[in-house]
Amino acid sequence: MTTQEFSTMVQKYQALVYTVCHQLVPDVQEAQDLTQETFLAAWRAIDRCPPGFEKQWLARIAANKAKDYLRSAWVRKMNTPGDEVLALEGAPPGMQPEQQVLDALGEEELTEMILNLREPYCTPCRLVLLEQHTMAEAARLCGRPPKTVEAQVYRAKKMLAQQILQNDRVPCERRSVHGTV
Amino acid sequence: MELFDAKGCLSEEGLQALVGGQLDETQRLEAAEHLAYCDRCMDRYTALLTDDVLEQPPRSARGAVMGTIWIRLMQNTWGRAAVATVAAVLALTLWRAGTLEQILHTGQQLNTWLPQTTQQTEPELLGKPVNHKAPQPSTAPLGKPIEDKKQLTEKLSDALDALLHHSADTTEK
Repeated sequence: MTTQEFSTMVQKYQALVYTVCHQLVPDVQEAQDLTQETFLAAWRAIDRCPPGFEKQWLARIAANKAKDYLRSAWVRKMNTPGDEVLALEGAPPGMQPEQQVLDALGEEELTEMILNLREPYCTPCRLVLLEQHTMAEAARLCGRPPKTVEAQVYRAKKMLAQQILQNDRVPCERRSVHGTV
Repeated sequence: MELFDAKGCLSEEGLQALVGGQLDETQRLEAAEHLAYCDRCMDRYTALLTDDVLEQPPRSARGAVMGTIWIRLMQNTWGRAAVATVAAVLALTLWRAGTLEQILHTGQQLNTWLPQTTQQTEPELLGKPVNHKAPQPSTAPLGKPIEDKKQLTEKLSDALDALLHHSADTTEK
């Protein structure tokens, strides 16, 4: 594809790409930047564009760009120490706060909580946390990309830990062992 | 509102909420993650993005995108041209300064220092049965100039005599 043809393609699909970006990332400036990033990525991979499916192909690239942006934003937000994370300071080195909270829970209770998770978290968490599959196996069984499964399990753990802390379900004696609360 | 159905795909109301901008941040992340790999949901989603739903970007993306593409193309082209120019200038400088000749001369000197070795390869003999009566290659070093002309003349005349005697014997028989 020549640069002239690509320029025509940008003109034709810029509204579609911007709409996808803006629906996923409401900030106008960010959506505009993601639109440009989408077209630059499309130019680099233009040979892989299936003829006749330009609309879906560009929308997928835009969704991927938005996903990367939202994932970074989510991680930044969650890793900013809030009360619940600060409350868990003093945990053994290398132990994540949410893992500590999950470990404090009884097996039966944890199983119930995992099975009650909503999609898209229930299936990968059941496979990884309950059935002890590896991330790669779980990804294959779910039909999802491995990185997506990893991210979903990671988020699910964070959510479960928050849920437990909010419900005040962590036994008091366990908390006191780690010198918290 | 359930964003996903039991099969793990985006629900109809979830898609409508996405198009209507009614999802929170986590739900938008979940939807983006799903649309990034699910062909079926991407088809359903793009089918909803009709002309009346599409939004125009505040600034046209074409100018910025094509500008960046042109800059990258020029950087590649000019980068290669710059490398070629530097190489050409370096070669010219070396040539003008006589460094190239010096290098070549040094190479020739090296050749003279190396021992004179000649490989005796006789391809026509390869693969043939061993014939002990076949003339054996001379052990004398090849390429050595014959210093004595007299010796050469004598050798030649002896060889001619032997040939003549041999032919005379065969005709008598």
